Amino acid sequence: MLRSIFSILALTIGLVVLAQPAKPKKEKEPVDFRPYEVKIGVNAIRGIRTLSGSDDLTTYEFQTAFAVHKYNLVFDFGVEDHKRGESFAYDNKGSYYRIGFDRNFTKDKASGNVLSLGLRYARANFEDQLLFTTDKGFGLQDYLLQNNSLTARWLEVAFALRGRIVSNLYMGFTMRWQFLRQINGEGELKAFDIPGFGKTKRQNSTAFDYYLMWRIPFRE
Amino acid sequence: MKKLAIILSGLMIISCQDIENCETNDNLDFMVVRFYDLESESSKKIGFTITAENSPYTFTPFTDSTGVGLPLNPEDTTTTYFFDSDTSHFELEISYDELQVTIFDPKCDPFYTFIGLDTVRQTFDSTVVVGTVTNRQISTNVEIYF
Repeated sequence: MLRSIFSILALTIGLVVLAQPAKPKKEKEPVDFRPYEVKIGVNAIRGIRTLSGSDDLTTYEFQTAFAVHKYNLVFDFGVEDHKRGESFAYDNKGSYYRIGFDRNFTKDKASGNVLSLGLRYARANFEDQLLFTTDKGFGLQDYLLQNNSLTARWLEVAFALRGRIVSNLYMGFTMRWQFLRQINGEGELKAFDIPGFGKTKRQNSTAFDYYLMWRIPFRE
Repeated sequence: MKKLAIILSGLMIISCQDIENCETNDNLDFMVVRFYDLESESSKKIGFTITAENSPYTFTPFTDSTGVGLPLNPEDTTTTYFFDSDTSHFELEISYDELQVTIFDPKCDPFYTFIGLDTVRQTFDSTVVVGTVTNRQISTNVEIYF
């Protein structure tokens, strides 16, 4: 009798345990790959250098960054006209673009703040000209050398910070490490600068840019 | 994070400052010719008056008189040099394949580099092109034996 009661009790406990509702599984939220904001801005350092007229550089750069999930799809476009030289006149002008993506490490997407690391492909189309007068052992002569159709490409690793200043205005910097540079189209004259890259004497280069950006959210 | 950003920014700005000295440039826009005795192959002092075609100048040998720096004509891929003394007259014609014009620094004059030097014609006993590029790292471009 005791054995029967024990068996019934054990069966009842077992059924009760089995009848416990299963813990609800934490369901993964579906990833939304629709862009939720875009930031449009200017490179402040380049803009200030141009507007101040402090050196022979005219340059503007614009940046567009679409935020998608944890990533920013970034597109830069710039123009540059750089004149150099004390005993000669060197003029290098052209345009460039960079395209790539950043991984945004900030948790709060709604804030619009950015702390990111990313990769860019960059390309420049430009021309340069060197005019100078010198005596290379054959009397004083004028020399004019030019490259009319130069292209350059390189890759960049970019570290970026953007913080909200007021309303939808954001400010921040991008530090870049530029590498795997290639130039095509050079003749006798070797290019001294590449728009968007800097001096060619370095095979790899670093750059620091400051951006002012306006954020346009696509949904609240 | 803020401190790290400030330090990194400072380093980036400092690293962008170029301090160049024109003398540290390796480019050289003339070739170095050295003279040797044909028999002993030792350095030989010369007393030539050295001139070049299309050049208004006379080129002075180095202080030890065993070599001379000679310019190459950027307007022509070959240059002929004349070596004259009271008792002799020699000629040397040198060509180059490629010319590169580079700006080392905006404060320095543009530099020419001549690449692919070769002897076209010569009236010495023997010449050897031992350095085909004009560059400070190369002490001799042409050896002349006579």
